[in-house]
Parts: sequence; C-alpha cells; structure tokens
Amino acid sequence: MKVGLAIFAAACSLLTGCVTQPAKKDMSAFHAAAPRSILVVPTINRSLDVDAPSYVLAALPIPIAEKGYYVFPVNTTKYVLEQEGFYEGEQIHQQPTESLAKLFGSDAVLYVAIKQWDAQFAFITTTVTVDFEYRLVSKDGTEIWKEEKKMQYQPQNNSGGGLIGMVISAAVARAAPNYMPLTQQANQQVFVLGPNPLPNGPYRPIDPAK
Amino acid sequence: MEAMRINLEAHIGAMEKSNQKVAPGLYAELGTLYLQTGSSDLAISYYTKERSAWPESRTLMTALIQNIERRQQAAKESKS
Repeated sequence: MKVGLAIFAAACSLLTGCVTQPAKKDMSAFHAAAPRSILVVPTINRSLDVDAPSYVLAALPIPIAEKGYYVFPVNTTKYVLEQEGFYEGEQIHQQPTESLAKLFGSDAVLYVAIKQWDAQFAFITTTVTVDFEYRLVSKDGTEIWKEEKKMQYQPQNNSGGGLIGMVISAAVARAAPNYMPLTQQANQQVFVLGPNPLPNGPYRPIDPAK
Repeated sequence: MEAMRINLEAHIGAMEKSNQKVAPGLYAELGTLYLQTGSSDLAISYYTKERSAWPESRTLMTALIQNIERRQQAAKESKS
C-alpha cells in the first residue's frame, strides 16, 4: 500500500514536475468590484498582422459570456467608439476606464493587447504563435484581473510524400496559418482552465450548459 | 456584412424557437448591422429586445435608440 502510494506520488510528480505552480492570485479586488457586465474594447495590436485585432475581438465574447457575464456587443462597441472618433486600439486603451465604463454603462472594461501573432517558417516546419495580454479594470479604475497567454503550434505533416511533402505543408501553413483555434484555446486557458481563471459571473448558475 | 446578418438572424431565430435565451449582445449586433444599412426602425426594435433580455445593456441601448430617434426627428424636420 505504501509502495503503491509512493509510486503514485512519483508518477504525479513526473506529470507535474516541470510545471511550476504559479501562486494563487489575490482576487479580493475582483470580488469587491463584483462586475456583472464586461465591455470588451478593440485590442491593441503589437504584431505585424493587420487582421489580427478583428480575429481576436471576434473570439473574446463567447468564453466571457460562458463564464456568466453580460458581454457588450463588440461590433456595436467598435461602431459607437468610431462615432466618438476613436478608431485605434492604442487610442482607446489610453482613455480613462471611468469614462469608457460610464459611456457604455459597464461594470468593467477588458483590455487585450496582441503581443505576437505570426507564423515562422524554418525549412520544413512552421510554428504558429499567438501571445496575448489581458487586463480587466473595474469602472472605478482599479485593475481587478490580469493574465498573459502564449500559445504555439506546429501543424503536423500529414501530407506524406517525404521531404517535399513536408516542405509543401509547412509552406501552406505559413501562407494560410490557422490562427483561430489557437486564439480560442488561449482564451479558454485564460478565462476557464488556467490557474487564474475569471471567477464565475452572475449568469453562470442559471445557464450552466452554455 | 450581408452574410453576417443572415447568419445572425438564423441563429437568433433558432434560439427563440427553442425557447433559449439569446446570448448577450447578439440582438444588439443585429441592430447595429441594420443601422449601418440604413434600416433604423429595425435597429431600434433589436436594441429594444437586447435591453429587455439583458438589463446590463440598458445605458448603451437607450443611448443608441435615442440617438436614432433624434436623427429621425431631424430628418423629418428638414423635410417639412
């Protein structure tokens, strides 16, 4: 029995061995603010891909709504901000959170910055990388939650055909890398599965299936 | 944009048919798509739906509706 336990413990440490457990973050500011609604403003783009912000913005509402928050409609938000003369993420992120929250009537504002969004081609493999920074600020200007997530993948070479096949599939991945699944995974990790997930919102118990 | 509107409309229709709550923001997004194509009455009706489904949207939806009504009023006055 003891031996069994020891083996089990060893197996566990093997599995988790190289993952350093990050310290549990202090969520008291979050619980004090207890937001019901989250305004997702257009993202800051530090990558070279001009389309990245639209993709990222489109992928954000679903996981946040699934956590039980009212998510302001992102396209409508973008439209309203444009009417107010704000077109660029950088410009919007510089506005005081208090005034953005007041304009939309939201409890908190989510700022996302795209740090990396690219596909690097190295002879026979392509590595697709996305890296995002998330910052949730309550309507009084206090930062209540923060995360960062970097995700990478290398498309599998399942085209066969030896070296030439591999080169072709790597080239295809670079020409048309599929960022969306990676972006969705990053969001899932950050909001739901990760060590510091977003606490459940007010609608979560009512609608657990979604 | 047309394709997006049709998709969104079909999704909302299916949700309403099966008596499920429509996800936050969808009525409003549809309203905005209509607003951008000049159908302001439809925009108002979807913004109103969003507001009654999700009370958190009240401030924004009311502001959007009042904005459209003001513009409609101005258009009427300039005609007469």
